[in-house]
Amino acid sequence: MIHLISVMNYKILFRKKKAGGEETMTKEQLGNLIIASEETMYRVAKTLLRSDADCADAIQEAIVKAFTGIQTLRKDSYAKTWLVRIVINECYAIMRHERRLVPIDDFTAKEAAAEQADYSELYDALSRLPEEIRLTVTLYYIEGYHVKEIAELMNTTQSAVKNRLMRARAKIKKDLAEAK
Amino acid sequence: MEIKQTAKQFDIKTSDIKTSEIEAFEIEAFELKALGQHFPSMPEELRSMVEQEVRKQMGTTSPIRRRNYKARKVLIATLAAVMLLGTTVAAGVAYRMHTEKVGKYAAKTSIESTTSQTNHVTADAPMTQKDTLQNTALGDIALEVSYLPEGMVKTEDGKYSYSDNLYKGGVTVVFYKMDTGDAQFEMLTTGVKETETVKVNGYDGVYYVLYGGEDGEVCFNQRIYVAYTDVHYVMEMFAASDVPKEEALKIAEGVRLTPASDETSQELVHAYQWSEYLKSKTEPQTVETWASDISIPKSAMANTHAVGETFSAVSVPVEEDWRGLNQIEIKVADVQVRDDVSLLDLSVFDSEDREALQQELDSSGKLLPAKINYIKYGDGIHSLNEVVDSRVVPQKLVYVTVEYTNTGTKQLEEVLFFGNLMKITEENGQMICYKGKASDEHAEWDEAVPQGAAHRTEMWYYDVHGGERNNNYITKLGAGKTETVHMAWLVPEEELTYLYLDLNTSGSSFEFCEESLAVGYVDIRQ
Repeated sequence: MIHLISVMNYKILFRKKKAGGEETMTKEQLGNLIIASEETMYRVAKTLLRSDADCADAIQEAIVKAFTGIQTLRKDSYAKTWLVRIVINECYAIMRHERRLVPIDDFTAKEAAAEQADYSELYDALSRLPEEIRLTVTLYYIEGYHVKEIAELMNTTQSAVKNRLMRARAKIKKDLAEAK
Repeated sequence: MEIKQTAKQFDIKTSDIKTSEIEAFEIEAFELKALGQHFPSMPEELRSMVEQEVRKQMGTTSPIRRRNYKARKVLIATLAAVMLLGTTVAAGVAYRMHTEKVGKYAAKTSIESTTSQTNHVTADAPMTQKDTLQNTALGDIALEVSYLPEGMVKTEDGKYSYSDNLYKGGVTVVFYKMDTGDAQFEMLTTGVKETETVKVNGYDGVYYVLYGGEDGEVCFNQRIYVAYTDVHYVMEMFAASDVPKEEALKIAEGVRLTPASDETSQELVHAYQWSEYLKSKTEPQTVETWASDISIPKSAMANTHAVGETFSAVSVPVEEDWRGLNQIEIKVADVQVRDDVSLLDLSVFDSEDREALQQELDSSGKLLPAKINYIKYGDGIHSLNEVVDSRVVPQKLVYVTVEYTNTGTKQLEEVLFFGNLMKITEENGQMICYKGKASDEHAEWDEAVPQGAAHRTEMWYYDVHGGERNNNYITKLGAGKTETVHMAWLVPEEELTYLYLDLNTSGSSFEFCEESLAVGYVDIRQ
């Protein structure tokens, strides 16, 4: 019987392991991990937030939270996944805040207008997907996470991840075909 | 044991997805695989912000190690030059990896330097000028794992496990750059059962077998150290009990040193600076208020609820209440204690849990007694973890009826519920997480660990399933409607007098938790 587990339990897991005598990550190791993962953090944030200013806010807050929670993190397990999860949470926090201030449709339109960069058709097609599907695609195709890992990161089932990938592929394929 | 139970919560049923389907995904990927090339590149100012924030958090002004994106051929030439320099400089000083026993169960791995004049220089000798020159000239090197046993896959950078046992074993590789000089390397390994010096691709190494895994549980009970003294790096490999020794050594043999900025490889494991590792060990660590988690003043539990009492799912209204928690009220309507499982709807169990439940029952369907082991933790140097006492005690089924009511005017969807048993006793005005009692009151032990289902304090059984994963969610809870959830646990009979229920809907803790205390535990003591 599988339970959904909250982020709080996730942290407790690490703390209990630490109490069991396993080594925790040092500040240096976490610093190196963050530097090594900065591209991943950016792409995950960019997938959800679009605006680079918001990405910067989410990543900065995630770094602070990662260092705050370093005592709970083992050095050799789940570290990068844990970091990505924090980034995702921060992105959602920013999105919730934005949506409280601006109706969703306006928000999307304004964001799209604000980000008039010259992106490729493939990236544009990705950007038009719903946020959960976008994130699934980024984690799978760009960051190389397995279906199971994505399910854990996004608190969903492997079946849902597979469905999102299938929908993404179909939609992007259609969009690209229409563009041609 | 709670570690295991929590870890198990993360397990995704592998039956949910077939290997062939995963493979199909990989094959069908078409253009999306190239998406990374189309993704906007990270702005330079954002990189700077990341580095600045990391330095700020680390409390350091030293530069952060960063990948260097140069052309591969230039870097290969650089590496060759570095290796040549290393060989030349090392001609007068030879290094060898050394292991020595510490206490009864530990071993210290170090690198000793020897010269033609002195034959032996102690491991803590100051760094020589040659060492300094070498380290100054040395470019960053990463390691690449070129051999993996059949069925083993990469799960994260430096982490590999068997695809049929993902995340639960395999090997983890850590790489250290000896920027303080090779002779400064020293690592204490505890709980060592066997030690063997080995040669790995001509490099000195040490292979340890650690205690653990004797009960068949997968644990990291092998350790390998290899000293690459010509380039001043050390590899540390953790290998789990599901990896045969021969395979662990073959993985070590397959390690290739490569320029850290080699963009053509996706399998690089980057190094930690040894100096930073040392610094982190001497830094004062933030002291956790560990004791306060298992012991609180009685007044902190003032908000405890009785059976039949209704209370809010949140202690204070949530500001951004996208889950609708402000509208939810909870009530424990009933608590029953039985010595069989006839109250349970066995159809909600999966086959694994159903089989586990059968092992708790005798031929007439009554619950068998539970065994409790009392563990004394060792330091791994002079002593090991040891079961110092065991008891067999009667156990009962605790079956709780919980009602979740939507008091709002809108239907709620995917309402998460969670139930965790707390065993709490009162001593001298303090509320303390109950540890258990051994048969010998004078026995010294650290933790009582019930075997079987009795070790699980999170709801083992619940009869409402919903949400995407068909687990602990109420799929829809209409305005004004109530959903009844039955939860159950197996509990040693002697612990029934300590039971409280934590129904905090955002998840629960194994110790006292501020949020749960604010929502309030439910007193279900029998």
